[in-house]
Amino acid sequence: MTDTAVPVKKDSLFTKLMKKLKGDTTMSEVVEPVEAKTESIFEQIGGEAAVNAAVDIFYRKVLADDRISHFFDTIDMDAQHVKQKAFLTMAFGGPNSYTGKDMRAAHKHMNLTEEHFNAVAENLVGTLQELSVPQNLIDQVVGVALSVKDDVLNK
Amino acid sequence: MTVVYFDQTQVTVREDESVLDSLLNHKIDVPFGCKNGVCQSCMLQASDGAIPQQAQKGLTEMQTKQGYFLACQCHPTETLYISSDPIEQPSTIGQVIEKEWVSPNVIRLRVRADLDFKPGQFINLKNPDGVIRSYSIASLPHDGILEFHIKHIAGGRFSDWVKHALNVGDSIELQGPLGECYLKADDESTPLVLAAMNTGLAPVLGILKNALAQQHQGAIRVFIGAKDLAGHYLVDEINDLVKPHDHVQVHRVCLEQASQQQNIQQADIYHLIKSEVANTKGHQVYLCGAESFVKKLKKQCFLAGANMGDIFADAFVAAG
Repeated sequence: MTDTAVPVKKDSLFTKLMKKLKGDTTMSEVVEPVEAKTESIFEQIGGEAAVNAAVDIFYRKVLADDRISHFFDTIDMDAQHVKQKAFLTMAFGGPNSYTGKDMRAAHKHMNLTEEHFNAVAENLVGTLQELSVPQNLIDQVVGVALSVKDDVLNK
Repeated sequence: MTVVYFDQTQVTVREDESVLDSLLNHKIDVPFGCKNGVCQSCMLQASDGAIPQQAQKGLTEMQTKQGYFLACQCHPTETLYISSDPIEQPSTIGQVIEKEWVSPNVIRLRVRADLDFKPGQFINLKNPDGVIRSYSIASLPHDGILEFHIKHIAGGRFSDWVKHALNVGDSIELQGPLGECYLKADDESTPLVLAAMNTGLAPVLGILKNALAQQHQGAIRVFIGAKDLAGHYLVDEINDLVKPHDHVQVHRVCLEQASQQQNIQQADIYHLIKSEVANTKGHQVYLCGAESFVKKLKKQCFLAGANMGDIFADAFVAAG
């Protein structure tokens, strides 16, 4: 998976002054660099295509992980697969409407521990590493996951 | 503003809201999750009305055809009639043209009917008493004949009727076709794994015939399991079917015994598939049989590398 962010070509002072003369830019922009509009984590990671590439890898890791695989013993695999897609969409900073309350309610009766949470986070990181996602984006995804930790563990 | 009906209740959907939002605002309790068209928790079915394409994104061909849609992504421009109960599919009447025992407890039934289908899909067969059971199609559509493999179960309300009361020349009601377990190989070089347990052979046979008819080039590995040796049926027919094709391999197994004459190995089907196809990456997998069989193999083949979206299954559930 490639990093989709486009690097900003910084104009030289000369170029900026030329632009000012042509009326293409304001004086404040000559003095201060113009930042490119930053893409969201979701866009940088590759959006929906990234989720699709990641979900099978992630789900496979989860099912092969003895610490958490038993939670998925009786579930319908296809139904769980789409739920994993929704989870990854959320973790990648993508559009979703899950609230802390939703996350809490969904996991409440499972008696989850730190170990369970860490197992999922590790598998998430492993998946992104396998897809060669840059470390800074991985960190941000982990950040999103951590933000719902208390809800998931019903603390 | 568009009016939709949820069963008998009329609901007005504003311009700026989705069907889901509108239903929830009207205190109609429908399940939901991500509200972004991914988790599919809010899937509903409409019996009438044009469903916007966006609301069917991510759904299968069959789901789309049957009017399923995601409520959170649905901004209708014309009236939709949403049904909270599954909508009954249209039915047609067929005529039994052949009825033959192909094993001590399997009847091969051939029915002539004007019905388009994909081999591997299933039909809900209905008898005059209204007893309905699902059977998968083992034939190709071009003959206008649907072939079913009906396992006779003592006391089975439908199969007992087939055994004792259904005769060649009789009419029979067919509903469908339904099911996702049909050949979906867009790429003819994709390696295929077909696995069947007992009468799961019916859809697998349909899919195999279809793959050969479409001149599928990729390797096709067929695994057929049965409870006992007598449970293996249509052995010669299938051997004759695959003989001219080098890229097709058929493995027959039985847990308890072997038969050298019929080339049936004594083996555990799961272990065999694991050793024959250790890496299922890039494969398409078609699984048919009892629920436990399908579930176990689905997991096994997924963990061995196949994409979830490339595993197609129909689980047979006994209904009494």
